[in-house]
Amino acid sequence: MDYLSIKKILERYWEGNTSLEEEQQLKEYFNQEDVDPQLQRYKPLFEYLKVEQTVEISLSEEQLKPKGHIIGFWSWKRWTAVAASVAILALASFWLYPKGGDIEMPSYAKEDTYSDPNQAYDEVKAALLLVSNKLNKGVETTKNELRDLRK
Amino acid sequence: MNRKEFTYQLLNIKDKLYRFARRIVGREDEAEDVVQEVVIKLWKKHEGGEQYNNLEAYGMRMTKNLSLDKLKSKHKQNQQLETITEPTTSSLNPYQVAEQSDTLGRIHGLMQSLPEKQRMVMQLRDIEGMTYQEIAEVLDIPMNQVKVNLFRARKQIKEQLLNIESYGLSKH
Repeated sequence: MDYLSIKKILERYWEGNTSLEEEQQLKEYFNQEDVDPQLQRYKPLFEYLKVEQTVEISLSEEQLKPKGHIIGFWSWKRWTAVAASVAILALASFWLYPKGGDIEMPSYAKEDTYSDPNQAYDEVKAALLLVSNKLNKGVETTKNELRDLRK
Repeated sequence: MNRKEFTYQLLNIKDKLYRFARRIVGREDEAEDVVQEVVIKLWKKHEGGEQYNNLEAYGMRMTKNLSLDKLKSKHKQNQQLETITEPTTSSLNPYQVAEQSDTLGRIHGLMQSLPEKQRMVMQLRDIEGMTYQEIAEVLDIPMNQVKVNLFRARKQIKEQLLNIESYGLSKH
């Protein structure tokens, strides 16, 4: 490009009125050997601007990846886990009560089985304990599963 | 955006984020810290299901904010230090003096001495080749402010270049 047109573009550059294309032309002009002596003083600026374009970060790709696997608290994986638990509960209830809510009560549920209230109380306590133990076991299993999911 | 696409885009913009951070904080190691922090935040949001419309613009804004935070906290530390230590005679550290010994280093010094906003605008326009609109979005300022800051930055650099020409070189 000739001296005059570059000089015009340069004038507009200082005024802040150049397009990106024209700024690119300035960079190209000043980064070659044959620069007009009158414009020589501006050469370092455009050389600098071009060099700075190529500066790269010295961190490796690995250093820019998170250590371990990050899962946000309400990530889709966690939502999937919650949805799966609800589905399992729903299925389990259908399996336990296949006929729906309309269940025929067996005769032993209608009559008293124990005459001594204390004995009845002990039996109930034992039964509830058994259920409680089973439930806790279920919670442990779920915790382990969740831990595996996170890995 | 799946994991692979996200990784690809991230690797594409990492150098641009770094250059921007380096321009603001002025130090390479601190700029690397900023980029690492930005990248981890972007990863967390990505894993949390965030769909980025424009990862680059988002990352650049984050880089700007974290870099400015870093500058502020450094400034505070310096103020606390100055009350204890003797005032130094020169404001330039040896690294900066060495930098100024060559021509490009001198230009670097000129640009780093610009006010923060002018420096950021000039980085994004004259080095990264971004449009006024894009710069306005990253810096969160109106477009005419982008133009004003760019004009002032270039004017300042031009005057300094002419100064070097008439006085700087005659010293040697």
